Amino acid sequence: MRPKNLFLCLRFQTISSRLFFEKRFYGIQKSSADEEEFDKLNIMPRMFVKGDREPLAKREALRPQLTPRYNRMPVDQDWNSVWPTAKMFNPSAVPLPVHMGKLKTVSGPKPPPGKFANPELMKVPNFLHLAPPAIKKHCDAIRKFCTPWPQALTDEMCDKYFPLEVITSDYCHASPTIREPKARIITIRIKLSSLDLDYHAKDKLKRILQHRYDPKTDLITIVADKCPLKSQNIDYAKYLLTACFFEAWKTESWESEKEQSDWETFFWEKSPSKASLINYFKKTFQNFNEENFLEKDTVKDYSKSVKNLFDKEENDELLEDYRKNVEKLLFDERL
Amino acid sequence: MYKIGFTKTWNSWNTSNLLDGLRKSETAVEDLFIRKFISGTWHRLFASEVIIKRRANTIIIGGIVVRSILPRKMYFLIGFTEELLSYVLKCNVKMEIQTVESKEELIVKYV
Repeated sequence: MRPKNLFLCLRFQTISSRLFFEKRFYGIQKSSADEEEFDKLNIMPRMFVKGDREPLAKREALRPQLTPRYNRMPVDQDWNSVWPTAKMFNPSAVPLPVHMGKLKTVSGPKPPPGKFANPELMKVPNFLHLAPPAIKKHCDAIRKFCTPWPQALTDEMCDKYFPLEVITSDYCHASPTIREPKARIITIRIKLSSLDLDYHAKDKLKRILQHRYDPKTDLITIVADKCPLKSQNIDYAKYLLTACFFEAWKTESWESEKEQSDWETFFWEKSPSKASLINYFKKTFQNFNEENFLEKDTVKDYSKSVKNLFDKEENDELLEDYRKNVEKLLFDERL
Repeated sequence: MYKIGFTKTWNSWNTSNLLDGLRKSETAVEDLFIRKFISGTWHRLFASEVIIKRRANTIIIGGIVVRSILPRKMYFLIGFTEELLSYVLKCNVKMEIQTVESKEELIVKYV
């Protein structure tokens, strides 16, 4: 810019700012009688001129009132920018006819009070910041931090490769403390079938776990709350599970002393039923071969029906089944 | 006129009042202190009860105030209350107030 222009520009600025100043503090008054006439310039500041100003109440009344904000809102406005976060209800910003509270008069119930000067509306939590477009906006904003769930990882695959489930709880309070003693309690769950166990170990593990094993769902559930911290409890629960697992694999010397009354289920192989059957056939047939005999379907059916009679609740069906199998053994069996 | 919890809600909203809530007594005493503080600081200005809501580490104080002082003073009082209470209570304090021309606006029924 050339110096002349700059000078002009500066001068213009000073003049305009002075005019503003004069208007503000000295009050250039426009005479309503004659528009052509120049405005009267009052040199004395207004605050020193007596009787010049209207009383405060009148000035307040004369001041042009803005229409309320809820009346000035366009229909297609972005509501999220009007109400971005959770806050108390504000009637001037909500263009809705909201009512809250209860009015019961002598003449009968009346409609509840409206949104203005209504403390009930301020008390209740509102969800005006959670309009569906706002939620969509939030989701779009955090989408870049998420990755899609791996397609190949189905529920069955999860059960197979990640059999151990750790359940923890977090608590959120409306208070200045973030500590919650209940947060330390954790639960681990695993399916018994996902552990590598033989028959003896499985049975022993069930006996060790007692009520922690649910035969209906086949789930082992261990709850740990002994330690003060969540991670310590997770470690402790995993330790408990490991200890139980290896303890189940051990066979103690006293386990051989298990009698029929200790059996968790009926073992036909070890039972007197098998012994007496073999004894009978040995006496009846000269060329009796025990190994071949035990392979036969009739013997297997018989053993199954005996086992059912011991294990299950006795009913007519089982007894009938037992009768048939015994008849087959005694009368149809030809060696 | 009202039944609290049914046609009229509580003036204090927090999780301490729930079953197994933490800091029950501390919260009650703090609320009492806030109410006393407000009634002293905003002297004869609150037309409604003082509403105290707690959200995580934040205390939100609300209510309806009469426009009998200059807006400038009201803004000062908001800042003053928030600042002092956040020092005393060791957490964030926010004020969300509504204003009315006179206390009569809150009257909904004449008996």
